[in-house]
Amino acid sequence: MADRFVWTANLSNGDTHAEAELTVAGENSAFQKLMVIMKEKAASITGFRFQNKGVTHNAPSMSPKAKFPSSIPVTLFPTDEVPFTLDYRRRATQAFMADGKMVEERFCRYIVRAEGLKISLWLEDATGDTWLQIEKEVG
Amino acid sequence: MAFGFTWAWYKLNTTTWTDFAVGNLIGFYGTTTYGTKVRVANYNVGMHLRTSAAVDTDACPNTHMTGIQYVAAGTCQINGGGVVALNTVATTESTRITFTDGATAVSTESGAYYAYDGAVDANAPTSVTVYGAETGDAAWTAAGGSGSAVTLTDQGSNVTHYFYLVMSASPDTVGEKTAFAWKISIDYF
Repeated sequence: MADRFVWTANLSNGDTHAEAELTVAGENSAFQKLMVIMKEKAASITGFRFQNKGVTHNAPSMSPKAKFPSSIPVTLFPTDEVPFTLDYRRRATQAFMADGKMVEERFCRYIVRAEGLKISLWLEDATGDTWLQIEKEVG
Repeated sequence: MAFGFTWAWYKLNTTTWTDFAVGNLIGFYGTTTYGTKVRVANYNVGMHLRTSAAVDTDACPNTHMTGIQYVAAGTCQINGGGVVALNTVATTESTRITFTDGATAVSTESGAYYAYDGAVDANAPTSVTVYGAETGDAAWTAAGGSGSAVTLTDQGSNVTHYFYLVMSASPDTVGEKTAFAWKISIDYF
């Protein structure tokens, strides 16, 4: 059976890493594998895209540290087999510290929803740090 | 106009919002008079801007910031006046935080406002009990740490977003509280 999803990440060291599926029973998720590779190679993500049924969906660049190659709008991409969405949000914070300093942070977040999972890929603007957040969605 | 936040207080005598200057501190005081200490286990009556960590002078003279004092779950006192319902606090009696993403219109969701220790978001401020609210809220939120944040109302697409926030603080022990900061967090798209 053909893979339902194929996703590809371009890394800052020039590597391209591709995985099929979101999760594999009894194993780390495909995203987690990518995180391990990134950590081992001290690399950050420079490109990220999903392919489904021969159609490629590129994530837009939302972060100065994640210069993705495309600005194709990311919207809902229903499929016959497994519905999923690729979406994004940005997060801005500011702290008013006890010494009067204002400390800002900015993140971007790519969100894949499929099979009752919400998998968020977070990128922190200032450092380029990347991490995963995997949540089970109710209902 | 660049991405970012601006904090402001309302100046009654000129009826204008006045931005906090770089280095200003928000001070919680035991009376409406600048410099009066809050007793342990009591909540602030007044609020003022202090000039800076190095300069202990009132940076909001004529007129001063409005002090909002936690009384109970749904009530407060405004500048030491009578007890009133929290949801009667006017926007002009709050602290206003403005958010923009440059000149781009964006919508906001999952906004949060909380106090923390200045180091770890999940930690409540050290030896300070805090309450926060967004104007219009019927009840205070014990907003110590990101897990207990005040939930901010989602806002539709706009270039400029205003959040009107209320806060009150009580020292658990004597002495100056330095592990005490406030943070706002906004998701936008």
